[in-house]
Amino acid sequence: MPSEAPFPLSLEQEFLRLQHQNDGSAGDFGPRPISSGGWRLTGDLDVEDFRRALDDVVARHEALRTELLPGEAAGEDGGEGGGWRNLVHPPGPSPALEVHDLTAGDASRQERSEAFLNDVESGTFDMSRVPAFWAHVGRLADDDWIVVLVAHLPVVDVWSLSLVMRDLVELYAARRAGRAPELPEIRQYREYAAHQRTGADEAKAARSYGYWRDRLSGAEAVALPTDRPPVAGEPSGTRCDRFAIDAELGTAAVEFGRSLRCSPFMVLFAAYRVHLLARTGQADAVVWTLSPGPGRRRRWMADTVGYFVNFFPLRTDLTGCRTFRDVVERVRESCLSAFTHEVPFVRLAAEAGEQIAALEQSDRIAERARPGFQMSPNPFVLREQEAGGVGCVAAQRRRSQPLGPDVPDDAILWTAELGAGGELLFAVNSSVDRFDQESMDAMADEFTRVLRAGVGDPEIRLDELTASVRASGGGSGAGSVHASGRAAVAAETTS
Amino acid sequence: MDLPTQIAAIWREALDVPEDAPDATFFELGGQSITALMITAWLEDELGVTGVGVDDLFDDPDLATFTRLVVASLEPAA
Repeated sequence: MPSEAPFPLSLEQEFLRLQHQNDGSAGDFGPRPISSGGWRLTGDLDVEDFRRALDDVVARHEALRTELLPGEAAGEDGGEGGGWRNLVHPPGPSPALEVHDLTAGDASRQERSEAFLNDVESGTFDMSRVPAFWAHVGRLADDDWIVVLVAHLPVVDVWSLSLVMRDLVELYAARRAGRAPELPEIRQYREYAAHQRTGADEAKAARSYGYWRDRLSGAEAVALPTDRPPVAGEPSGTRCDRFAIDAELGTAAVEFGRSLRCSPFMVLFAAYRVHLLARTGQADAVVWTLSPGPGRRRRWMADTVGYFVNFFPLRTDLTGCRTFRDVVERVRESCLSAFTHEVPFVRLAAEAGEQIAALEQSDRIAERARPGFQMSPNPFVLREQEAGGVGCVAAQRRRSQPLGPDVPDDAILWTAELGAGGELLFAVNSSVDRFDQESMDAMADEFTRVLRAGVGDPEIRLDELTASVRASGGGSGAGSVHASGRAAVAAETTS
Repeated sequence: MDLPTQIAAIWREALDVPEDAPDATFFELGGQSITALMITAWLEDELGVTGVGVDDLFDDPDLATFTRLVVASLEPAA
């Protein structure tokens, strides 16, 4: 059947493949290419109907049963994306479902559910399994559950998992009630990849290439000093440090943003940018960001499961900024123009090749790391759903983990998330063989102090702000963790 | 459906607000960059609107103000 013919990688999938082609890591798409998420379910969950709903959701979304074939296996090698292809398997084999009893222990349900989520995420997953989709369900009490979904990142991004969970709850409710599910009609990811290959978006994208060539002309990337060079043969891996900013400061930061017509991202990115300025002295430089991707903006892809994530450079020139308010306004301009001109990174690298190559040269320096900053890829994180006698809400985390989702070894990735009640939650992924724990704690602390000082007094002078960060001994981990009001929960090593 | 109704439908769906929700501005409704990008992309794909950008949503309009802006952008220049 022609619909079962393997189809080429999308531009976004191709980027993921290229990113890992030369980074020396194991695995074609990185050593642990998983997407994952957790949800708390309240109510009386029937595990057998949940199992059937899992089959239903895999039948509904082709991406959940898509396998990636290397060039040779797909009957071709070379060419775009190294000849890799998406092969959609017919519905049939069930996803792996494991049910765990988490009712024991003195820890609170919240603590148990977070520890469970971290444990599942740190596990090993065989991406050649069909479907490469796992559900781990933990019973905290008879009416309180934690569901963790894991999928293969290059075919299912993290935003997609929140769509999968939304559908899963409705499919479960339909099973319970013996009725037809009420779900929007969807287009499959193959249609997105095919749409891209028609070049239909190219005319519009072409109007943005000039912007990027100008914007990135003479640009360098922020190169953050690491604690030590990687040692060959030493264990490499990505840790994930999490911390929270209290609701008072979190709400104030979002409100301050609004007063300047800024999104939460812009205010938080401004504070991050000042933290990087204090550490590197680079006033005019690029920080990388990840976005939900140009494909995700299209209405006909709004409910589609697939890999849409995009990557692009945000160049912010802080030269001449006197105050924190100036920095936020500079960041606002930089973000709005970059978002407006966003194109898939593979196209950007082709059309502004010289500028991107220069950027990559400037940030691939020994003993330097490339910082990235993004908003949480789960846009529905505060949305509550109720159907079939269960309520569902995303499980937010503040507990660190020694082994988290991968980022490339030479990168540091910050992810900010709006928490319930106005808190702000952060996850920072860094390479364990290049950064010490103390440095990561110090960075979180510096960021928090910049945000607090800047939001508290937007007219605070930028030189004063950076000097105060430096005075605290940036990088030395001078133990002022609690002075900033930052709440951190240390990683639990379970063995 | 007339134009304002279509614009309202896109606004509500992208921002995930019910029809009977009280009037509020883009940021009050939790608008972020991706929401603004979705609204402008949907307007372009479905209504051929090209004269409204992300920055117009970042000016923090309410639905009525935004609708006037979109409608005006479609009128031939005087």
